[in-house]
Amino acid sequence: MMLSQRVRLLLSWTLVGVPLVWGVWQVVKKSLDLFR
Amino acid sequence: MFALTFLDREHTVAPVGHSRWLVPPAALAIHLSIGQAYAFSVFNLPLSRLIGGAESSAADWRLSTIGWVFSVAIVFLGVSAAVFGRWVERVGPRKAMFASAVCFSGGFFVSSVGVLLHQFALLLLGYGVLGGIGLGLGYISPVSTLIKWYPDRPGMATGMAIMGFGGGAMIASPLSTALMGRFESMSPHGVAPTFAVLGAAYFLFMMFGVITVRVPRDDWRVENPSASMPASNRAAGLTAAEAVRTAPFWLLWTMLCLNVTAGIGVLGQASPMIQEMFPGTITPAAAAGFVGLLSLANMGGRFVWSSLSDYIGRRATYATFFLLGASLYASIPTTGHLRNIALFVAGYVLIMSMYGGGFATIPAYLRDLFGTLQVGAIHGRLLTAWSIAGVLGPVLVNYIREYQIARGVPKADAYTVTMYIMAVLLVIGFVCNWSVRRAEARLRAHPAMA
Repeated sequence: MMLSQRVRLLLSWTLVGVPLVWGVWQVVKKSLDLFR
Repeated sequence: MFALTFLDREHTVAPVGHSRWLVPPAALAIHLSIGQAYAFSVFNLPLSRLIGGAESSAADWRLSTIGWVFSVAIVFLGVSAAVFGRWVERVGPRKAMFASAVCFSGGFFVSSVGVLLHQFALLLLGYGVLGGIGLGLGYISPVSTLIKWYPDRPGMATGMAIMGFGGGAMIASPLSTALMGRFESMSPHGVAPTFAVLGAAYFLFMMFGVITVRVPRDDWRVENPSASMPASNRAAGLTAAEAVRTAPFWLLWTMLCLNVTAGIGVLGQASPMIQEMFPGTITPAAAAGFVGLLSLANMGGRFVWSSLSDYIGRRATYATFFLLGASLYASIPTTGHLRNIALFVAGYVLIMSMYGGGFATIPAYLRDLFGTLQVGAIHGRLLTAWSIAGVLGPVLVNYIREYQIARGVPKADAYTVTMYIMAVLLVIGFVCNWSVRRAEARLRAHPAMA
């Protein structure tokens, strides 16, 4: 039960975290132009 | 039949041992999706060239006309949040999230047909009206659930979800651009198929939130609460109808309206503003980077400031927004004259973090004042301030700038008066925040708050 909850926690946060980190990285890449 | 009952509140009550950390991803799935609204501008140019191709033709929609789609969506966000707030409280988060997913993705499908047929009314009805209702329902649906799961840290919990609204644009903007490139050979600029794909993708992503969201049992308690925070939220407090008849509600409404007005106009004009204030120094690519930094600050501020508010209190957090914000706005013209880009950028990053923080901290402020009974519905009614500010902010920035330039003021100085006006608005916000303290004493005497 606890393990399955841990797996669910991992999957849930990965599912929302990966697109969010990808989006943030896209913005960071673009923002680097400001400091070049 | 099961599908319908699955959406009922009774079927969302968490079993014993359910981790509350499973709830924020459900809320984030909704907010990351509807946050796409902030990236709608990536469609503006392609939508204005559907017939002309490389350039707009006479038969194409004008940019100023297309701009109405976003404005109508934000107005419907506020209106639907206010109108459906009590319904959301009654039916629970799962049904509300599902309705949001249907409306938001349905808006994309209707818009896709509107683009194919080149019918602006369908685009406006799809993304503006239907999508806007989806935005409003989705924005408020997880708020009261999160507040109930995190009685010890309501600011952090709602900040996490509302941060998703800021982050949604960061995903949607590059994703939409890539999809339009992929489908360019299928239809003009690939807009119609992109809308259809986004509609389907967002529906699936939002369904993850619909399926996984849970409300706490009535007897649920935080395991290790801090001494200063409650371990559970008693469903006590004022109803939405009662709350809107109190002075604190309207003080908070004014505070949100002023904070958003000060931020939203600048956010929309950030790229031309930095280029005009630093002529010959800032390239369009660097200006785009500046806009990106502001988006990051807007998103990060939602989480950081609202989490901080759990420790320093909501009133102190807003006092910081208004005092620090007013000082920064008042000093921006000076940093422009000094041609100090680093100070200018740092000032705006801080301003934008507080703009986002203002959105994210308000639900917890409402809970502190009005209790948890109908905090989602009260939040919904408060969001009408956003609709007003969404029109007021850009109008203030754009029209004052144009007026200044028409009077012969150099472009680099055309924003000076606007900055001082923004500073004054934030000082008024500070006074409202201060007044909440006095009005709160009368609120505590209300029988429902006893």
